[in-house]
Amino acid sequence: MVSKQRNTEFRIIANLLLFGVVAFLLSGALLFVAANGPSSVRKILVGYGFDPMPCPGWVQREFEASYKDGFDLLFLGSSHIQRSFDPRFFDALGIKSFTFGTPAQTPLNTYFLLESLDEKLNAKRVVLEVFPNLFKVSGAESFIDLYGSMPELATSGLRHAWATRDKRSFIGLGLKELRVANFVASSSSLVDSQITRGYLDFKHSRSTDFSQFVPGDLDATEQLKYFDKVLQTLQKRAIKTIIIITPLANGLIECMPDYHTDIAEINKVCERYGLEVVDFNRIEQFDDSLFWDVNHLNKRGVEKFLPLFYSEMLRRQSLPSSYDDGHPQ
Amino acid sequence: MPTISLQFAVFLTLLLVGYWALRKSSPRLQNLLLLFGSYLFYGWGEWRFLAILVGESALTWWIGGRIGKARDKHQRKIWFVAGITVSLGALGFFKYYDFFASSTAKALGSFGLTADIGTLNLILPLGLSYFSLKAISYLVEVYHGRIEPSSDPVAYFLYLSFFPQIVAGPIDRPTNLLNQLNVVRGLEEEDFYSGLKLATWGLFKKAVIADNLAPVVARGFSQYASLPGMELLVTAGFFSIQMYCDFSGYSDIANGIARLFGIKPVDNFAQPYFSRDIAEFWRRWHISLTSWFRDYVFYPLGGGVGSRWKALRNTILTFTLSGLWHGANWTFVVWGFVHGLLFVPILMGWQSTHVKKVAYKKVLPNPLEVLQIGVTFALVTITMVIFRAESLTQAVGFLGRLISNFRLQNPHHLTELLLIAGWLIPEWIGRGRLSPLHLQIARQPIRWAVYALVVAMILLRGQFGETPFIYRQF
Repeated sequence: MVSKQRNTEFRIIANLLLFGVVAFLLSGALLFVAANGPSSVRKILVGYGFDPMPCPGWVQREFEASYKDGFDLLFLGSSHIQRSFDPRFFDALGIKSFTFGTPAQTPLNTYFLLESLDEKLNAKRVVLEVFPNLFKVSGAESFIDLYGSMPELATSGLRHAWATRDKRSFIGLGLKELRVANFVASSSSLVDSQITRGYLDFKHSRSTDFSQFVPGDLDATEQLKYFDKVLQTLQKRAIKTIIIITPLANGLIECMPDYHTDIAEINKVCERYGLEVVDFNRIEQFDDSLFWDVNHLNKRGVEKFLPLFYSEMLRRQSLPSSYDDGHPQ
Repeated sequence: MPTISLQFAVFLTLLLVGYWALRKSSPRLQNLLLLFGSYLFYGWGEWRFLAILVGESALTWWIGGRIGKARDKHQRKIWFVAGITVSLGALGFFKYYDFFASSTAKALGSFGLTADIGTLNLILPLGLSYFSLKAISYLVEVYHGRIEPSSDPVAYFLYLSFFPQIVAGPIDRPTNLLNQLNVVRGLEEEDFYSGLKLATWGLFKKAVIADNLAPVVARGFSQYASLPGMELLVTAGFFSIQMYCDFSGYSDIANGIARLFGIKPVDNFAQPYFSRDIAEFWRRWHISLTSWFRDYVFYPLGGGVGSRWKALRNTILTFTLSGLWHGANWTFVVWGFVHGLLFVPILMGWQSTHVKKVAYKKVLPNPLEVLQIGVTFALVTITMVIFRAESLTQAVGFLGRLISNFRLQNPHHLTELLLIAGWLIPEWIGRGRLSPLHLQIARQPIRWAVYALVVAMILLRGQFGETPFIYRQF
């Protein structure tokens, strides 16, 4: 009787283990199909297009080609940064800049990005964007984009994925590893024009539809922790940090019920480092005609924003008034 | 503790190992361990509610004993009423006090009268609606002498708090669950696998189907005023499916887990969306609650005996009360009332004769059955809009816009429709079985391939922990 029961236990455990292997292999096979099949198949199998923007890999290559000389200004943050800071504007002022924004980049992603860049992070000043909504998401979207397009970042990939606590990050990681062709090589964008040094412009205009905006619903504590770590890292590297909120479409703030409370929490962290958040929405009104969609400025918006940004930074003495030798003090 | 989480998986594994290690001992030891696990599970998020659970368990167990020992009928009745008052009192106070207070104040206000009835902003203790009905069921059965009062408080306390059932049912009966808790449970291989299959299918329905439809539904209901009628039709249809997959998914997970512990709980769903009329639907939907209301409300009211009007009154009253059970909101009351009204054709003479399974001994349903299933689904879906809406105004606005703004167009939800097909086809093929994963295929490699495919889809396509189970809130 006892031996029969032991046999039952043994059989159940053995079957479960064996089944686990079968299920794991089949999941891997489906992931392989998703990784190498068309986007529509991928969407059905893993529920997400997982087509990273083609820009980050391109950004990385350009960054590596020019980082040795260092930058006066390095812009970090989400697509707001990516689509607002045109380095050509700063070229005319003698400022060497690079736009390292990636879609939906959260403080968590910024932290791992800084960690990966390590000694390549040769910048005098960093302009870091904060967008409260991105303190309430996991960071999976940006992780997939960064990891899928930047093979150089692979070493911290697993830790980065784990930190997001989001299943989609691991699927993205699997897709990248199982994909025969590189994401970057095989990607092309229908909506973006890659201008220079990380700056993107849209090929087509899009209407403003706030119903498409999905407010984040996670607790902000985790991202605030990483925000603190980002500021700590920059402080350790003696890199001057400027924190900004880029112009947002009028209706967007209304879509984020806790916007002002979240800003207050972000401010608390900044105060610990003697920094303040420069909110351009308080400085100037940007009407809807200056936006491409609910989130991003269009060309005219950028043309209005960048001179404003520069003059505000000069007024606050956050930037030196002269960049004659290209190496500001 | 969230049922779909890593901590729950660890908790369940440890509890199973401990439980099966005790299978050669007494049922009491197994029950003690399960009771400890159930209280740990229940108190994980909010331990203060444990006091209510333990308090109600202790009082109703003690009163059940008093009913059993009562000297005469009169004394029995007094103890019985006391027991029902305890259970309904807790439920009424926590769940309905604020609702009735504000509704009364509003009603008096409409007559120009002012009443200072303050609301208390009470938080509904998790699972109160479920364990209170279980306690009432026990007291009624003891009162009518259909079961003996439980002499073992551990078994009774576990009956009320059994962790797979405590947050969203099924509402098991003492004649089923309590009886099983009085004997030692052995490890039966087939039962164990059966539980795994059932729980896996439940997880598939919840994580892959319901939670992938949830964002479309949430968007549809929050922005209904600006969406076209076709999108609202899709939203309503998706919600019906989300609701079923969410709730029956939970029930399957709960029942599957119970089977891992050698316990066979009551079934809660039997492919309700293949029903051919509303009466058949209610025989297949939330069976444990429907049968509870049938046995403890409808029959005591007189049931379907007597005149048609009496039967209609009893039916409408029962469904309205069952609607109110779902929550302190007029939307639920009206939802229940409308379901009662949907029985009018049946009560007025049109007989519901669907005893046999749909498409009995056939692969596909005949055209008449397709029509009947379609009409029943449409009726249920309309009432689901009332159920899901935050207010009656929203429900009316939603349905009004659906009709007034309707134009046939591409619904643009191909991925979701494919997922629905991935659930619906196996559900059809597996109708009449415990779950579609209870395959009747002799060859093991084929069976394993199917199981592995479902598990792979859960891993790849499942949404975890983003949308709580709908029936948890009740």
